[in-house]
Amino acid sequence: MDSRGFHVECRLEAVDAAMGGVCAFVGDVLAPEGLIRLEIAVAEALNNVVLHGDLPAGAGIDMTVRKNAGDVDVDIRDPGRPVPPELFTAARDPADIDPLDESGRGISLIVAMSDALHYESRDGSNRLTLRFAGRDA
Amino acid sequence: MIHSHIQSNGICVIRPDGDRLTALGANAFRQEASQLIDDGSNRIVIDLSEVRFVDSSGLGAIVGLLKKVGNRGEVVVCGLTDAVRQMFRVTRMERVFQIYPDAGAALAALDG
Repeated sequence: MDSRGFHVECRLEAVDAAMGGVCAFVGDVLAPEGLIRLEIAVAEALNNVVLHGDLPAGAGIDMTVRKNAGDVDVDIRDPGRPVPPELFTAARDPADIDPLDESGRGISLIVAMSDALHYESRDGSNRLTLRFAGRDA
Repeated sequence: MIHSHIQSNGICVIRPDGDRLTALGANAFRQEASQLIDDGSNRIVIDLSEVRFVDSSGLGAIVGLLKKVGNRGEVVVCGLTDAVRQMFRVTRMERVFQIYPDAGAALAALDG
């Protein structure tokens, strides 16, 4: 097990910068297709917090990425507005969304691109954990 | 945010600046490309060959251009790299976009 922590400021520039570090860290565990799925899901999750999380001034996002031969877990924690859990549980397949819709795909992509998802919000902190199967899975 | 070139036949080729088309730059991309449409371009090739990653905001910006042109012309995409191709595939964008391997193929198709 190897893990790395990332602190992401609540800015879109910081999301793009963080994704480079995350993908470099897990590139030896995930197959290319899995790495793409992780990048899509995690970028959407971070963007969601930045754009809709309404974080307190000065607050940021803390992310821990754990990898082993079998899989990668990405743990994203933020102190912002919670996502209604039903948005994850009732998310549509991205393929079922009207292709002419210009927005509204983020949560669907997070769910569809990850192999497992857990979300909880308690004591003012939200925690989204995404799992991605590794090369050996 | 974009590089654009209008061919002698009036087809406009747009290349997003940088290797990511994400929430960070999607609005600027949309605004700059929309201005080209307002200025009269209605046959557009979006060349994504230098773009390594597109998120849902970038995708929304591309869809917005397609809708803005509407029936007055055509918007096609080309040069999809692996991650961009996967995003187009999972969102079924092939239902609304003609996709070409490169700008040359797209230009030939639009000029045909």
